Amino acid sequence: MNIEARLGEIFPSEELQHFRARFGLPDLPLVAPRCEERVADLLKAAAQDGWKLVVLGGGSTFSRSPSPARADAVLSLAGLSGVTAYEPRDGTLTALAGTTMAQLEETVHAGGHHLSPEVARPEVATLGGVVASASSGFERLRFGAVRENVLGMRVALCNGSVVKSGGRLVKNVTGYDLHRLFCGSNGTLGVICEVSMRLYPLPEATRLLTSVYPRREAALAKARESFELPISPLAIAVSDLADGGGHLLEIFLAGRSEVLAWATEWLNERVGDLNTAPAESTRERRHILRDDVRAPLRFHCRPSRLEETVATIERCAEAQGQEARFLLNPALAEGTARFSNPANLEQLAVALGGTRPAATLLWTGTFPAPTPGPGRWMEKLRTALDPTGVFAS
Amino acid sequence: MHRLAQELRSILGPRGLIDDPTKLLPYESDGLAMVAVPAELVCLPRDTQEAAACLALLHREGVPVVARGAGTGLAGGATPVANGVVVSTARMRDILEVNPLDRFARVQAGVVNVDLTRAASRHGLRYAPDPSSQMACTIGGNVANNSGGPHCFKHGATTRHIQGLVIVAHDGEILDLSEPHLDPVGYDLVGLFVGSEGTFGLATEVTVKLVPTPALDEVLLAVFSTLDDACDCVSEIIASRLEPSALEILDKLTIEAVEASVFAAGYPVGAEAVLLMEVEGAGPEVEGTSRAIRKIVDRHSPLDVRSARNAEERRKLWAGRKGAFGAMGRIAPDLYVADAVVPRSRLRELIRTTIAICHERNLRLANVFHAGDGNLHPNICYDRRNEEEVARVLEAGHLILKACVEAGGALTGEHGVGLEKLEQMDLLFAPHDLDAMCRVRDVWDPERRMNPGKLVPLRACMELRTTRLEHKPEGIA
Ligand SMILES: Cc1cc2nc3c(=O)[nH]c(=O)nc-3n(C[C@H](O)[C@H](O)[C@H](O)COP(=O)(O)OP(=O)(O)OC[C@H]3O[C@@H](n4cnc5c(N)ncnc54)[C@H](O)[C@@H]3O)c2cc1C
Repeated sequence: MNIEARLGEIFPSEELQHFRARFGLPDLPLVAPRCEERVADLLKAAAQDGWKLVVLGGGSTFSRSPSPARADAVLSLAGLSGVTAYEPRDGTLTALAGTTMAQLEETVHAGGHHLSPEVARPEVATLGGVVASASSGFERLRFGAVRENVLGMRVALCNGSVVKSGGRLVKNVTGYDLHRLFCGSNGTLGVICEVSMRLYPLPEATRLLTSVYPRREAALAKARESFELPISPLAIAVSDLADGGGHLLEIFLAGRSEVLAWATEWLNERVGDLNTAPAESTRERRHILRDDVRAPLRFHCRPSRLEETVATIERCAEAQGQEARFLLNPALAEGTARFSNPANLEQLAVALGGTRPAATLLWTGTFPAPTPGPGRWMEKLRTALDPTGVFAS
Repeated sequence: MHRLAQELRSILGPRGLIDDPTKLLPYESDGLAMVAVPAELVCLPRDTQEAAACLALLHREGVPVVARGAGTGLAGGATPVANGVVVSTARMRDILEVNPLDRFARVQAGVVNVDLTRAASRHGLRYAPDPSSQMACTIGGNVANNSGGPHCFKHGATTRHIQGLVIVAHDGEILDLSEPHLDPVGYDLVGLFVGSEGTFGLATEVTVKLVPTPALDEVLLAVFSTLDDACDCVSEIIASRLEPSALEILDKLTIEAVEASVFAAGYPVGAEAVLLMEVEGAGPEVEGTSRAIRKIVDRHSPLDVRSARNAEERRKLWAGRKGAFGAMGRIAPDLYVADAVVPRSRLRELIRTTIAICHERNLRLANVFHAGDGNLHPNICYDRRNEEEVARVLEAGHLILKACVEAGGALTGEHGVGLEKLEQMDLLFAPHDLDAMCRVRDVWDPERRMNPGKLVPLRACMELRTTRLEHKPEGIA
């Protein structure tokens, strides 16, 4: 029996759709279960019939991953949506994996909470997808990486059993932190069905301070001085402006208004004269930085090696007649690069790899190869959790 | 002298092995004093290479291995297992690198928590997790238990501060994950290892994140005439989304013990409870938060609220809290330090339940706990020589955990499952949850020789090969 017919037997028609070819995948049948049990049903059928499944949240970050070699059906979590429990008095949120970040933000804002990460396209991105891809947010400097805010989850394994790890409490060491393993596993170990997150107080106000410097080194040096500010900004960014327009330093502050006033004064004294951006452009810039996910190259390194890494990328690009433009997050020593000729990046990737940079380079559509030792352990984990290869990778 | 000891000694040198029964005595239990199993051999490797050679030999011989740091764990995690060998990190005490520019440090697993903090403080930095046992416990033990501490309320437990590890696997393979990456490349092996309580392998080196010491910290002490008021006050601070860096409650019995000890902090004897709070950050941030907190405290009928006037007073107030367990030695021969977590909106209710359970069993109870995280520590006084009393203590412990789980809580907030809470794991997890844990454990240690019988109940590991554990390897007396 072909796969579509078999799916038709198991699932009601409202849970069956069609996936139109994109992300390097062909046209495929798509199943969007509305409850955990149905996710389990699909996994059991896949294990039995030897199908390979691609797991999709909102599909907002999938485009960064490489296309799997073979896929028979798409499992979309979009139908598994809703808030299980928002506990404003405890500062925690539990929601089904397919709930969009926008919906969750709206829910917790009403109770004065902030949900981190603040990711690109929150109206499309789902909680499960964000956690599975370990996408950290624009405000990571203040609130940490997504894996640090996940308190627990429910995950459907390849045999259809739905297991729990962690819980809904802000502190808990009962059992292994399996949720740390699933966080960032990109749908290759199990299907994340429900996630519990730690929440933060919603800052009262936000302020953006900016300055433009003719040289990138100067902008980075000023950024470093701002690291000494005793309160943590939401983000510090240094970006190359178009057409040789210089290098823009942006510091996003958040908190009570008297704290913002104090921090602004501190920064003006220590870092030099900064402009306070109007509210409208603060919002706009925040969205621009938040949405910077389409850059073909993302990298991170030790903070002390940021300049060296940027110089290496720039040099390699130049040698190939490419011009590189950077958006750097110097406090976390990560950044993205865009290139003048985006159609032709393979050669650049090879050349850069050849320089053995002291940085992790993540090109769109490829996973960095883990070094052989850890790689072998990762492979063992994958085989243990998905012995028959139900999850396409 | 038996063969295994000889071979181990040839790897570890004469100071690297203990087999003299009198010297083995301190290793027979950890902080869970009611359980003792004689240790047969204790290995003391100097570094990763020695540890790897040692584990490779124990692998070939099929000998179970129990990793041990300082033995301050309270859940029996470092209790020896029959026919096994203890591998202690007591001689792995080197701070390998403090990198102030990139804000991390690399240390050997046996480095004591407070020594790392001291080394970092020379650069205006600190290692944030500060278990109350920090004068003795090791970073390796902290990693294995994912330990907490008063300041983890703001800064997060150990796992949030671990950037890399060197792990020696069950068969002696060395897995070097020591480079501090912003994000894991591939699966998060480091994050998975933290909290594995010695069942995945031996951590020999740890890369930790360092954070700047705060520009300003204010320590507040609020005194209450009931424990209920103290609990409600904390619940309201949390519900108001305020962010102090620590929120700790001490009850009357604890206050009395502390004030009668060398840790005397000036807590008012006679008060039913004190709430110790710290706010850190910069000028107006600290002022604003303290002001908001004081307003809340005022709504809960405090007998007194005061702020430490200087660094010495701040130090004393904290020394009292951190010395509380030690001070309790004065009021009972033994102390059962229970550890459970509850939703922070239900502190008062669960503390009351805890008191009632102990009262009904005629047990003396002292409460000193990380209230801001909902992490309860009911400390039950007992005498380990009194079997009947031990049974009552264990029954009370079980009922407290059950009540916490029923209220949406968990079995342990920081001490781990170890031996102590194996029985209770199925209050929280279904068999298939535990089975998934076993599957992952088997990836790290397919023979289940690393800290066997800890953390995951044996019956959950469905296809367990028990024969291996019962087999007494040649060479062990
Ligand atoms: C007075 C007192 C106060 C305490 N306060 C706190 C507190 O505030 N917060 C808190 O979280 N805990 C607290 N504890 C508990 C205890 O100190 C912690 O769990 C601590 O992390 C244990 O460290 P250790 O070096 O003593 O480890 P051990 O007790 O020796 O071992 C603990 C566990 O870790 C494993 N292990 C040890 N080293 C390694 C290694 N290198 N690799 C792999 N596995 C290893 C052991 O097998 C065991 O399972 C307290 C204990 C006492 C006695």
